[in-house]
Amino acid sequence: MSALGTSPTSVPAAAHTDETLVGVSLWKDALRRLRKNRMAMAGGYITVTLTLVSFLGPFLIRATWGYDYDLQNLNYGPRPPSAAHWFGTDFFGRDLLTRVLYGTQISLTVGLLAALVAATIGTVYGAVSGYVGGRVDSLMMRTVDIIYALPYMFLVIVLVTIFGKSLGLLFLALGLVGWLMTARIVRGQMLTLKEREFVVAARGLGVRGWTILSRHLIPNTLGPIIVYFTLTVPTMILQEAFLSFLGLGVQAPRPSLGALINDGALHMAVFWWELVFPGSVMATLLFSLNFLGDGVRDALDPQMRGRT
Amino acid sequence: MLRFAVRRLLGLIPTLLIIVVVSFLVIRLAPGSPFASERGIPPEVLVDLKAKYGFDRPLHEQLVNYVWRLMRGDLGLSTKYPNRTVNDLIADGLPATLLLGVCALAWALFLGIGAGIIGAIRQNTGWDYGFMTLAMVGISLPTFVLGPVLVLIFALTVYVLPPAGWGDLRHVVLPALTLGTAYAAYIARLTRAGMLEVVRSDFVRTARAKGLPEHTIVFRHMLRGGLLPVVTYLGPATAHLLVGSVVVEKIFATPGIGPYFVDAAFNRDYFVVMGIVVLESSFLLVMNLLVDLAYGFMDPRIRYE
Repeated sequence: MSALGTSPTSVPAAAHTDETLVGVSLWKDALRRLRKNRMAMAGGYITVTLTLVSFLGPFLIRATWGYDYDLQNLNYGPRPPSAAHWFGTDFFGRDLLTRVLYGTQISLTVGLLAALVAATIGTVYGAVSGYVGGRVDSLMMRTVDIIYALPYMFLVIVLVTIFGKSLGLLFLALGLVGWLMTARIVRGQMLTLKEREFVVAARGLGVRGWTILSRHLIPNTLGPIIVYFTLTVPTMILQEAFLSFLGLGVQAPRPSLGALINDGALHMAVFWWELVFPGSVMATLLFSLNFLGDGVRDALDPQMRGRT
Repeated sequence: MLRFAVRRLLGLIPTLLIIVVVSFLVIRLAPGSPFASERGIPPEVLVDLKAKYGFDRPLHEQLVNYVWRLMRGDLGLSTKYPNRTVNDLIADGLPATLLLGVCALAWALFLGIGAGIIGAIRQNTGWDYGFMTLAMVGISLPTFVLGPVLVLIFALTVYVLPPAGWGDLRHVVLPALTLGTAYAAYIARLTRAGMLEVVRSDFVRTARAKGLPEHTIVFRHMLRGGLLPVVTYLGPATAHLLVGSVVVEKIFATPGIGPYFVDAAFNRDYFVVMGIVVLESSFLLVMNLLVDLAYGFMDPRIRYE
């Protein structure tokens, strides 16, 4: 992974296929490449649509039919999809569409926040470790190695049991475990960046260490950070779903996609819609996010194209 | 080479020791007690219970005791399952977990490397796009969606395979497919990328110039260089596969060690949690070491000091 990242000074070759040699900024060039990637754009559109629908849909449904994610109708019970309940209803007669939309909302929020926490911790940790260097660096990186060797599930489960099963702290637990790779990437970038002329110049001018880090070094590692961030969001969504599947995540009656799938798997022999709808939404969401993340990586870092 | 291997193997011991100490402290300093779920234990009994497991001693003493017993291969007693040792529990669950892991790994390697090779040598054709889109589907399909869907299809619609349980080899098929598919997808992407990396290299051109048949070029020359990233990924992947997936074992009611782990973490069954952590960490360290050694066989340019 150390090959990640385009060097900040090199102007990406804009002319290898078409038009004239005009200097384009890294971001503009990346955006252009992303636009050309049809799968990534499709992934992006689907993600945006799912996000909008999952946040607005529940309001519309409440306004139209009056359903809510925890509104039970025990007389009604589980019924297959119909005009009144597009995704059918669950065991307690709750409208499955509302629950799936609500669950998507929760999954997206938890995934995004957890990835943000992970990216922030990883960036600061990696930047400090790489910039300070020497013994501090090896101590900090050894720590990362050790946490990395611990079983991931062990750490998450322990953190979840420490924090309690609250939704607000779930993303924190996931983020606190998921920052290791970002830290390694940023640190690797830092090691080469800090020897560059512009950093030496800044130091020579008497700029303080923290300012050099936040003004000059971290912005130059943003490419790899964003790339890794976009790939972390689907991972975090998946982790949240795993935890909910195991009963450690979002607590009933609140739905999350993982919890809904768990319910669905229990009843799938009879009430297939309880598995199929949340399962397909989850798969679609992860599929589009992964394609988008892949596209962002290819766009920001053409050398990494096709790698995992 | 042998000296290198032995030295590296010995070097794992301090790392493992640190992992043991850290995870021991983490689990012990987490709030909760292994006896919290037993209602209405008289205080005298609680004292006895704590004494039985050594929880009445200061923490550092317990840690030293644990490490000392660990070195002799004794993983301690379970608090949740009275009078069962952790060695027992692991010995009970490990065969099923290992069998499942090996089958999943075989499936992942077969499908992943196959699809990756085809994707690379037929780059930018329908085959390539098809397999790579499938790989993305594989990565995006969580095991807990894939597993129930496979059960729905193969066990509840066409009755060809048992939906869950354990017994004969037919019980392994669905969980192994479920567990291995995501890994297969990653391996396919890595293989394709690795092969594309070497496809235009000089040694491949030389092999072509010598007039070697295409399959020799692909399998003897390209694959050796192209599989390096796959081998790197295989280290941690094998460790995770062999120690099993909590979720897959739960879906298919596999009598492996996965379910113990979550239960134990919940019930603060300290020694069971520690036992599984030690097992998984040692697997991981050994696998990573094997990966390092494998580099030397795969790429003749790599030398060991």
